[in-house]
Amino acid sequence: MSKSEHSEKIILEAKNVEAWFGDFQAVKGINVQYSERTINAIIGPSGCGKSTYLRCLNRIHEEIEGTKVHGEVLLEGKNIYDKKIDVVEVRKRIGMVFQKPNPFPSMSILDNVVIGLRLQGITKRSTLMEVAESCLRKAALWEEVKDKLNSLGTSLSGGQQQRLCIARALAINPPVLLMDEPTSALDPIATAKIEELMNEIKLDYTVIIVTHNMQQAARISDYTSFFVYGKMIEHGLSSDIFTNPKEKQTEDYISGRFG
Amino acid sequence: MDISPKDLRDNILKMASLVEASLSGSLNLDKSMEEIFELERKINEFHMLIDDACFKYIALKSPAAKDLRTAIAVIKINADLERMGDLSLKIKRQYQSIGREILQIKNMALEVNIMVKNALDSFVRSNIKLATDVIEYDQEINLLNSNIVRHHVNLIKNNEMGFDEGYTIVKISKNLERIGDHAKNIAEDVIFLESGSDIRHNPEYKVAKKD
Amino acid sequence: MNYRIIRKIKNALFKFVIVLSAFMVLIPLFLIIQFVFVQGMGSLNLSFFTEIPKPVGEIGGGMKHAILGTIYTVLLGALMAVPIGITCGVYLSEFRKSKLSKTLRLTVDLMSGIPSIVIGIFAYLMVVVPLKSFSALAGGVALAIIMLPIIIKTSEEILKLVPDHIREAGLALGLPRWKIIFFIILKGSVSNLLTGIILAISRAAGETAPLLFTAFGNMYMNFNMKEPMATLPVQIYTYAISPFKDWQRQAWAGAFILMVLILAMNIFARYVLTKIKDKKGF
Repeated sequence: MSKSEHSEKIILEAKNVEAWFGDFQAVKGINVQYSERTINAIIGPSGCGKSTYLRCLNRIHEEIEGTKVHGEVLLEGKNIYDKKIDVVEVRKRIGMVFQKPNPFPSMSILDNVVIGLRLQGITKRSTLMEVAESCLRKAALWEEVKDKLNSLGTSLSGGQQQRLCIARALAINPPVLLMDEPTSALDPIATAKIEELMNEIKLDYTVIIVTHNMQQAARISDYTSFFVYGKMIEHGLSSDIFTNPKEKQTEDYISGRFG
Repeated sequence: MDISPKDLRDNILKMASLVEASLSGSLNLDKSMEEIFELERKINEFHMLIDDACFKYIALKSPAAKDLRTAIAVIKINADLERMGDLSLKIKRQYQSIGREILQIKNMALEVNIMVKNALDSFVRSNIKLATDVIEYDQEINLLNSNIVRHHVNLIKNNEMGFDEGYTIVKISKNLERIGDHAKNIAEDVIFLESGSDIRHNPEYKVAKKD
Repeated sequence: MNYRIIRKIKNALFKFVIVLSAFMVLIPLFLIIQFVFVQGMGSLNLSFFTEIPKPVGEIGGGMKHAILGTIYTVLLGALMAVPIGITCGVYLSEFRKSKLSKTLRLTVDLMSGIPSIVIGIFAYLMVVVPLKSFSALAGGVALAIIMLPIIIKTSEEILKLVPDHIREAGLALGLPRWKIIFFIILKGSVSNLLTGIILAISRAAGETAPLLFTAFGNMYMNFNMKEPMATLPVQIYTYAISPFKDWQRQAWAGAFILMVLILAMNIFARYVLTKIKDKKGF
């Protein structure tokens, strides 16, 4: 029987994270720890703060006007919301893949992957090519695009574009990768391809993925959190949550009896 | 979690080889009780492990079609194997108490062994024909059992054999027959797994034409 | 059955009216082009492009100095208007709701409504008077003011077209806002921006009134910014109202060339650039 061989080292921790859109509190006091090299799913009914919470983890939520975030998020022990920390640096270590594939238009596939590095000042062509190949392989896209690296990123299909965005996020080598419903805009085959590559990614990165697809969470994740109306109702090993959850709300949701 | 149907099958086969070892050891006077106990302990461990794995597999992977049938078949075969292990232990105790070789028992055990082996083989090789043969062969085993029982009841009646010994031999024969039943169950589960048809309780079973 | 025929007649009639209206728009354009072509083509010769005006009364000479002068002043104006214009466009598209944005938008709208001759007078007061001389610089300033609102508006529109999730993707890569704007958003809109700029330039190239008070005009070749410079529109005007037939002929030629220049720029901007954009994506 395969045992999850992840370490128990905590790489990211949320401490009483709260978030507002103006006066509306979307996230209400989340406390959770994430272990290194694990896949962590966040499930729950729509509109219950999952994505908002996720966007607090890389400080993208605050880019919207009128938003507020309280609490701490510790990346390897350091609070990313500390006043002395540069938010741009934070985002280099906590990457994100969005629901709708968003490769940069007017840029080639290769440019898309390496733009993050290039704009950090790394311009040596051989380095960039290495990183590009490695990340495109991890994103299970290399074989399909290796002969057309210079064609436009937007010339790919939806599923391929999303894998391109994954490669782009991996290129800057963030220890944590956030994914906000990455497959909900894709067809089942593209979805399956991305779920497959998650197992590869898990070897080097910690993934936190918001998904409205429970079966997806059950299939791919090591740990699952269940959110309702901005609160985290339960968090634990996926094999426990989906076979014997502790909270009745969790059980109701998983059995499809929730609202 | 990374459980796959292959993992489930592999574990059943590991458990099965333990059960086969227990079976052959039960009618081998040279093997000690302790050895059979040890096998029984390991068999029970597998029993829990496999059920847990199947449960988690179904919960987490939402399997469909053949994968789902595999998980369910594995759960059932698991139960049959565990019972076979129990029966083996009983037979061991009983045979040790007699203390000498009984030819008819040994012959029947040989046949039962072959039946069990074939049942597990049909699982490994996904072979419906083999499974069907196993199911048919159960009748032979039943016959062997009837013969042994009748023969030894007569021996007791005619005072040619002591009641305790005779009765123990009857019990061993019954237990072997039960093991044969479990092997038949396994074969039925294999047919369900491979063809999707449930042929139990069907005297004239129609089997899907897969060979 | 009758209804079907009636309907067909109605459809055909309506179609006729629409097509007629379209032609009523196209016809004046073609007439102008054809007229200027006929008048101007006959007066075109090599010397038109290679010579500067001959002394008054003499036949011959050309408008080389005016053609180059137009290019010079327009480029000068563009040099001033494009950086400021695009920067303002960027500001307006990135910070849409600030007070400054609202004020800026209002200003730009007003600016585009100012008569060009008033802009010329403004440039006169701002540049010609302090420098105590008409100058190409003043002309450039006037043209820049004319080009500015066009460039700002088109830049803002083009940049607004870039969806927000592109910006988000840039932020998620740990890039600061200015790098996202400069290296991703602007870079991705190059041909669109170029189109806007060329359209602004083609508008400015045809302006006459503002140049009357600023660049003023010159019968000789000049490349000094601080001195008056000839430009095609002003030269055409000067020659057209003159009593000399030869000059009048040259005026037609000039008009023709100016028209060709502006038409060419427009066609280039609207069609050629879009084709390149579709192929190369930027």
